[in-house]
Amino acid sequence: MADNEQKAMQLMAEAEKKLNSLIGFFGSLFGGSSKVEEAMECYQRAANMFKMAKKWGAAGNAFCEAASLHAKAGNKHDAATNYVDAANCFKKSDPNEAVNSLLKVIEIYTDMGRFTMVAKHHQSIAELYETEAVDLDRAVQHYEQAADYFKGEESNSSANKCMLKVAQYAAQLENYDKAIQIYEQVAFSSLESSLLKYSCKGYFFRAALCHLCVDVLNAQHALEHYQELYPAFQDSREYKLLRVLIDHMEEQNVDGFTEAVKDYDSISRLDQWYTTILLRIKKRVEDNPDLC
Amino acid sequence: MELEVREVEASARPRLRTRVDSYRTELGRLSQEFVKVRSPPFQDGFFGQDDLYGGGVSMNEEQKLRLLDNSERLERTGRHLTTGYRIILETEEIGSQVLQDLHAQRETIQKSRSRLRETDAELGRSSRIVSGMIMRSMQHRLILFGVAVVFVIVIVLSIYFTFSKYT
Repeated sequence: MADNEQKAMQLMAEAEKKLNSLIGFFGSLFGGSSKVEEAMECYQRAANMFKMAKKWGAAGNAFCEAASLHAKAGNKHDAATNYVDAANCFKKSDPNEAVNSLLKVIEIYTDMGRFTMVAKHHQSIAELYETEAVDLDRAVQHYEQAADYFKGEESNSSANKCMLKVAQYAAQLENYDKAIQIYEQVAFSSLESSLLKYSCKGYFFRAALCHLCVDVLNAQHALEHYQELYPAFQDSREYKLLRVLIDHMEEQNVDGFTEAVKDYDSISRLDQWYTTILLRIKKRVEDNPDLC
Repeated sequence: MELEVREVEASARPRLRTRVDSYRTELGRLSQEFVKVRSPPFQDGFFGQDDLYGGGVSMNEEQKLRLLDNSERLERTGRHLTTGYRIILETEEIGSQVLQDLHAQRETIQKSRSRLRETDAELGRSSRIVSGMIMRSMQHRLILFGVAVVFVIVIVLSIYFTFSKYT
């Protein structure tokens, strides 16, 4: 692997030399374009060698150089592909650099008008912020932008996926109104598709939980509304759990609340988001003893 | 039945009486069997409720074992049922996830198809343009050839006339 790296360094040096040799009037007259192309090729080969040697940082840099050369020469497609490759390499070493490369890619693609690709890259950036460089605010921002672009391109299911993530993080950051709005919107639009209507009860459950975080009466009205729209919701265990939770909340019965949640959890596990929201609801019940 | 036999006429009486006697013996035999079956032991584990709760008859060891056995069986069945229920719920989750993925893939495929159709139309257009260019270049070449021929003729004619003027 070490000799791959050495070969790669050699290629980088070669490419730089080629670039520098362009200085001079004759150079740019005669062999100008071919020199630049050769330099680009050298950079690309060097980057591939670095990838083989697993030096992700150097590989990313090499791809960036190649991409900037392409951009100067006016080949936007090639520049964009090279920036994407650079971002992939940086993902494994330095997430911030990856985000920078992806932002440049997004610029290029918005110029070209390829909004689907733009949306996909916004999604990738948001995922990076979600997992590696944890920054929920910016992740939410990027997911929102991705969802807008997806909606503009009529890919509603991808848009829904992004909006769901936005809602999840909004609820975690206590922005319940936005979360409720998004969940209801997604649920209503899914009702109409025969493929998606089986996931509706999940969305209604989440929306109702967010309602509970805000106000119990709203939650009850909302539940009845959902019931009207989607009759099968009534038979589901989520609906029964919600009814029980509302009753316990009205009676200020924290133990009954915990009991019901534990009951539900024993059969189908509740994941981290649910437990956080339910804990918040429980704290509300404990904090406001005269909530009627 | 005995009362009816007495009312019936004399000729038929003995036959009917034998029939009644046979029924009576049958009844006696069945009630004996019943009593025998109600008290220990059975093959399939049912125990007589009267014996158990009726007081006066004590439970045997076998009945206790059978009771434990049954409750264990019930518990096992219950556990199987809950596991099955859990698996079904998970399957439903997975199913709805799969449906969502399918929906997304459907949209991708539709978009690719429309893009391919556009590309197809554009390719047709480009091929027409290119053939138009080829035609035009051939025309230009013909014209050039024609002009060159005329030029050569003019030169030849002018040389001919200049030499004919000398001679």
